[in-house]
Amino acid sequence: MSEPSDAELVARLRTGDAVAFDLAYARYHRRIYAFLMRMLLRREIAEDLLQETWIRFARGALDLRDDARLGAWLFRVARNLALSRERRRSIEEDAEAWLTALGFDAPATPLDGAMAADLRRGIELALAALPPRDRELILLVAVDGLEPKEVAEVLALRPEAVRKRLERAREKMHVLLGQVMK
Amino acid sequence: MTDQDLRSLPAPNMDASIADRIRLRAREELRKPTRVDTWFSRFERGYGRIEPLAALIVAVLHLRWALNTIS
Repeated sequence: MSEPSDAELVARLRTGDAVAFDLAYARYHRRIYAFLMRMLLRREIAEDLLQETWIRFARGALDLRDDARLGAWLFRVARNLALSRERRRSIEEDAEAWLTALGFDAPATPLDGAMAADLRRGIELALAALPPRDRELILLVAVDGLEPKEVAEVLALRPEAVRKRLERAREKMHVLLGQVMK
Repeated sequence: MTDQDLRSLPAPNMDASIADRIRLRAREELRKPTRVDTWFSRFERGYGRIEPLAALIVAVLHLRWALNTIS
């Protein structure tokens, strides 16, 4: 049997369907968790906010609009929760703990070329060093691959504003990556 | 660095037991719609349909009032 679409899940969630809730959770919880981890750089806070996001989702399920986009709804709530907890950190302050939390302390696999591992490490550090408003954009657009319309909905911005902010965020990311990879 | 590099970043691992605990905790908050919810939902949908018509009627009434005032 094929997986139900997001729209079908929304219709079922509006009736309080627990199976639909589990399906939505299975589909989105890892993506939301990855976003929260990279926004907050702290595993325990990311887990707390992941739980809070899903509690809000469950409480609001009956009020979902017919045309609600599940991903955009969840990312918007997670993003707002993350911004309210965010505090800026320097690369040096959290770098080691952050890389350990991401599993970079594990030995590289034979398939995991040294160059690729270095680049991934550099990208994670550069992401962590970006200001939160830039980081969220890179995470939503480039890492998670959300549609521009969805990103605009998550950030409550016009698509044009998203495009401009994204350009700036990409420039900063390239500069930071250059510094980190030196 | 390309978008492909960013897209292929591995997702941070999450302990399966924690993920399951969060799912169960959140699912406790799910509830079945009551009769009031069902009624309200029907009302909302019905209102959504008549809203443009209501707006048109109000606009026509305003126009009539404006024309009467001018003449």
